[in-house]
Amino acid sequence: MSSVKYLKNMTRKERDEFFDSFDLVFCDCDGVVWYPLRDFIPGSAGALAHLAHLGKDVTFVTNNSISSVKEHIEKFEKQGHLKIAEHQVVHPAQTICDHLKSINFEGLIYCLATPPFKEVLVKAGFRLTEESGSGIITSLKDLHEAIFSGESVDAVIIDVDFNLSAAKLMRAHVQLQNSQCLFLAGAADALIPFGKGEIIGPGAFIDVVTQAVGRRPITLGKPGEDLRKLLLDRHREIPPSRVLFVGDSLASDIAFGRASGYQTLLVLTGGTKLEDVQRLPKDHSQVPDYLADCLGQIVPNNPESIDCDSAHSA
Amino acid sequence: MAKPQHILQLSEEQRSSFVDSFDRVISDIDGVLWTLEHSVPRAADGYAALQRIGKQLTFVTNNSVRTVEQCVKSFAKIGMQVQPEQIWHPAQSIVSYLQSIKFQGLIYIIASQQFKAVLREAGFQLLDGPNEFIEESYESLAKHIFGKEPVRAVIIDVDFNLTSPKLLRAHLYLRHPECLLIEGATDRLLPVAKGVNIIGPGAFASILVEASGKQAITLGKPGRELGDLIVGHLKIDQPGRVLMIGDMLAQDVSFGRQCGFQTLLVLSGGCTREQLLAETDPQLIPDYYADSVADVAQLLGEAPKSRV
Repeated sequence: MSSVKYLKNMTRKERDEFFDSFDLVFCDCDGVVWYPLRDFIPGSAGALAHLAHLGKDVTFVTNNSISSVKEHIEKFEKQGHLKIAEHQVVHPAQTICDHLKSINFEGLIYCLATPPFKEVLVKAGFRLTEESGSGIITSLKDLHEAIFSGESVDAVIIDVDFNLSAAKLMRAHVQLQNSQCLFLAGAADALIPFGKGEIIGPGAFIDVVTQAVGRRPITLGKPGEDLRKLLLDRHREIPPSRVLFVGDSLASDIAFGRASGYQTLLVLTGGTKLEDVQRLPKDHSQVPDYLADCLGQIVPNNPESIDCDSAHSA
Repeated sequence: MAKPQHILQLSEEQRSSFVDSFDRVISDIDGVLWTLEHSVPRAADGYAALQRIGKQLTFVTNNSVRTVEQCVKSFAKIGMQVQPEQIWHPAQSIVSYLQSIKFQGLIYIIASQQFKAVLREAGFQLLDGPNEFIEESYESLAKHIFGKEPVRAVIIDVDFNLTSPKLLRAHLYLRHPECLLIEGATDRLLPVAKGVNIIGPGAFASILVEASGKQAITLGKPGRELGDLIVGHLKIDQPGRVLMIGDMLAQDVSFGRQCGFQTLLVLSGGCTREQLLAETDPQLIPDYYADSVADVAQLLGEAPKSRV
């Protein structure tokens, strides 16, 4: 913890050096720019405008595919008065869609995800299986039907599915025993911040299938290796040490950013508390380089960021 | 590393010392007496032979979906008379365990109807659900998983209708420091047909263990707590004189070894000869193996060797 630099305690000179040390910013959204699924966090719009003013490139890397890229852009515009281009928003539905296009995929997909996620794929022309049996399973025969009936597929995708069920995971498992069937994962957080605590995230369910099948998915959400490589690839011209990754999750943002050699900034407006950072041993892979109470704190003397303490208790 | 011996390849001398080395047999059921598709030929002969030479039989299954009564009937169908008291399954073991610790709190349970019925009959108060698919939004999710009820135990076993909201809800109850995590069947993969495995309840219980950071109290095989319960109940003071028979390395052999029992793996269920011979974890390697329990009858000179 001692090595983490707290933004509010940095001298003017240290701040200047900090801002000179990166050209590109990858920034999480939920818990950083806005409260999960809600309004902008005070100060964050100003902070993003400040980064733009300094000439920094900003790309938003979110695991939330509930809102489409377009809806993200509208939210930035409406609530933050910020103009964000399509390529500046990276989320799993889009990265998976792009990946499937890049390999000229034409097969049938079994997709365990939210309706907006599936819509992205359908709009891009991909074919998804019909929803099978949402009925209650009362016998082994029903279970057998739910798992084994239905068409065989060429790809299985797992992201957040509010009604993920054992039968769906078992069907995915059976389909994936065909080694030709693609295995793709989106958001892969083991836990996600929700309300005042954390809830089990899609990563836990992806792991169940991974272990049952004995092969790993291509993971195009955080903290997936494949998304990490994709981001590195997209910005090959910028050395990783000149990239700053900003997020609220130690596992999905900080460790993820560090694995690529990026600098990292943790904000305390989301799922992580100061104590969580203090508990980490000094050389732990989740220790951030920088720490701020809220994103607004990166703006010197930002009047709004004075509200940080009230901001992250909201 | 000791290699398991096939019981029909024992020398005359080894054979008689093996037969004399145990007084009690604890046996698994599924994959040993029958599979989902058929009964194991002449399995009943094996148990009849054991009983004839005075060995006591107890059956320990991880399958609570079938009631004890149904189990007794299935035994009768293949000509075996087994008393309900001779059969242990996780629902019943959990009841015994909860009674032993004088548990009185509210329980949140993810399990089959049959399993829940056993706990309700024993007088425990259960919460479950959501039992239908929820509206697909975070608001609706929140409504279904945040419960204020003072739940002090989460129980998880086989539930054909297990969903993510159920696991998320269970995890939130487990945040209470006193809330126990209790699991029944532990199988990560369940064989349902030849070469066909489905994801078992053990995989889902692990999600709760990982997310909550709590150790599970395990009352299915190979649970330590189940071992303690059975050893205590049957007043076993020489565990080395017990023979555990089963078809699964991770459940039966591991359970037997952990309890200090001798172990006999049968290849009539979820483990092939290749898998057995490839196993390197000493905790999962049995003392003996056989093609099926019918070989026990042959060993004891009761019936011709079955060729299935």
